[in-house]
Amino acid sequence: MIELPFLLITGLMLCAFFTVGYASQRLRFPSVLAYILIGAAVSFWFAKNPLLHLASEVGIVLMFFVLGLEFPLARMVAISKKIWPSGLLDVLFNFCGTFAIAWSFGCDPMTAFMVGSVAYATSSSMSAKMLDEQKRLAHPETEFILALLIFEDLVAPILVSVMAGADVGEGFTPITLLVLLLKLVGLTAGAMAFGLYGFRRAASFVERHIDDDFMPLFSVGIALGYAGLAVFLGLSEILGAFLAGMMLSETGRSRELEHLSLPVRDLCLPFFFFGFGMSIRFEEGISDLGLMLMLILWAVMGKLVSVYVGGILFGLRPKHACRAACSMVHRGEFSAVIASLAPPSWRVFGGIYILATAGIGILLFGKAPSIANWFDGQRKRLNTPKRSERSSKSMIRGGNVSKE
Amino acid sequence: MKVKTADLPGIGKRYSLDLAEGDHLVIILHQNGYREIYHFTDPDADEPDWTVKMTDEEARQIGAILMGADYQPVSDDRMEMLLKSIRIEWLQVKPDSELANRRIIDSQIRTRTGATIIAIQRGDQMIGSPDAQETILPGDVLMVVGSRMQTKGLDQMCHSCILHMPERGSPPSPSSVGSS
Repeated sequence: MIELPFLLITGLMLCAFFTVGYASQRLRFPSVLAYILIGAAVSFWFAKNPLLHLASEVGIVLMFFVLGLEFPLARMVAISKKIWPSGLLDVLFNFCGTFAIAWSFGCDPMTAFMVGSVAYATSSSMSAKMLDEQKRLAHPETEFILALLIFEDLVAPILVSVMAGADVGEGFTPITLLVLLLKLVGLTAGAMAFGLYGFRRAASFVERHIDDDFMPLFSVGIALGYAGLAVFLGLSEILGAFLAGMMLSETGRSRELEHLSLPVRDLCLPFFFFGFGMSIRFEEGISDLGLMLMLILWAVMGKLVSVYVGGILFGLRPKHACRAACSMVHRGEFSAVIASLAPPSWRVFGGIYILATAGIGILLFGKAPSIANWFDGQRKRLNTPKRSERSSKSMIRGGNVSKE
Repeated sequence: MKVKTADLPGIGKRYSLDLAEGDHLVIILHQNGYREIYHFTDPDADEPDWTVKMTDEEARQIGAILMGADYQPVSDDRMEMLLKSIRIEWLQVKPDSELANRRIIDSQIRTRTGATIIAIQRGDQMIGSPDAQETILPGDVLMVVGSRMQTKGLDQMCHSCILHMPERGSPPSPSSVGSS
């Protein structure tokens, strides 16, 4: 094979990503899936190169950094307060539920943990884009969907950290778990201390220099640095990056800092999804088709039920909760991030799982309004006899019949 | 008219309002500056009847036109009444003020005085509708709205004097600043 110059390869890849990104926007197809598919398609004749590894690592770190930037501590607490019952329900169904299924199919606990983490989170980027494109931002359940996605954004880095931590040692013993927990707490406390006592004071510095050419170095440097520190401690870079974003958000200039890091992220992130796609070797096949089908079925059912009940807990009307439930089935970037940490034999599994749930999820998302209407109609039809009974009783008692 | 607001984390902010004629409007401010207006005849409908999208700049211009910056249909005596109940003041923050070097949210300005800061003039820089996380620095000139009592309360917190009340909303000249 002819050795092509490094620049030529990079340039060609970036141009290819541009084409794919543009085309997927026109076709209203999630670009994340497009990159994964292309990666999987060309994996036969494309050698791994160091650029791919480097760029995808930076892309992931910045993706979580930008997420973290949106959540100063006060805001995070405010959102969590409203959403935690629904959020925990989501964890219970989609992480614990999947964990139990995988375990009962004979996976060891570590693998089951990985499968549960892959299955857990809905894709935030796809949800936000589709809500916007389909003009559903005005709906009352939008707030709930976005808040739940944020809860997932908070849980996902922790899951990844536990996986990364356990990966280094041999499984879990009480002591390794304790050490891991201490490191987690230490890293988080460090970020809070830096944020509240360091960066909040540095607000005026950031403000004065925000337009200067050295500021991208500042934000990307801190993102990569703190992520690297997390890796050094044996935790996950994802958690480090998220915490780095959180602490910089205390400067109160998140928006501007985000704009500085976005171009780098957008350059690097396609490499990650492409690389993930490449690591899926379809010829290896899936070891356990029954488990796969069971998990995909649960991916749909678990989300539908947990989001519906969560929506009701949040105070949504049944129709709106149903619409929310149908809008959160697709998995995407988080699952890819977690599956990329899995052993190779499980990557095919992860890839197929993501493509399948994303496909079903997108279909359900499009149909959500009509499904919700149908559901509401059925519900009302079932409830009418009971309600008329009840209201006639209350009329006899002389109570006021409230009109719904 | 009641305006309901909601945070859309990761997307921006949403304002929903019902108009006197029965229309339901939803305005969405995207984080990237775009504004969208959704119009509903039936607030429960699955899809809006129509939507408009505008850039930050367009939205500001349209907003100014709607506010009547150019043409003011409200009669003069009605305007005067508005001015009596609501006033816009320019207040300078003195170094010994309790507001100096603290964030707006920490000083709890709106809770304590009822007045709202709508802009901050800092040197040549003008910060429009500042975030609650914004830190107020000594020497800043705050543009505030509120009733007479409310702005007076904030004035005491600033340790300054009310500079002047401009008819056309122009900031005070530096020479007039601080002359008690």
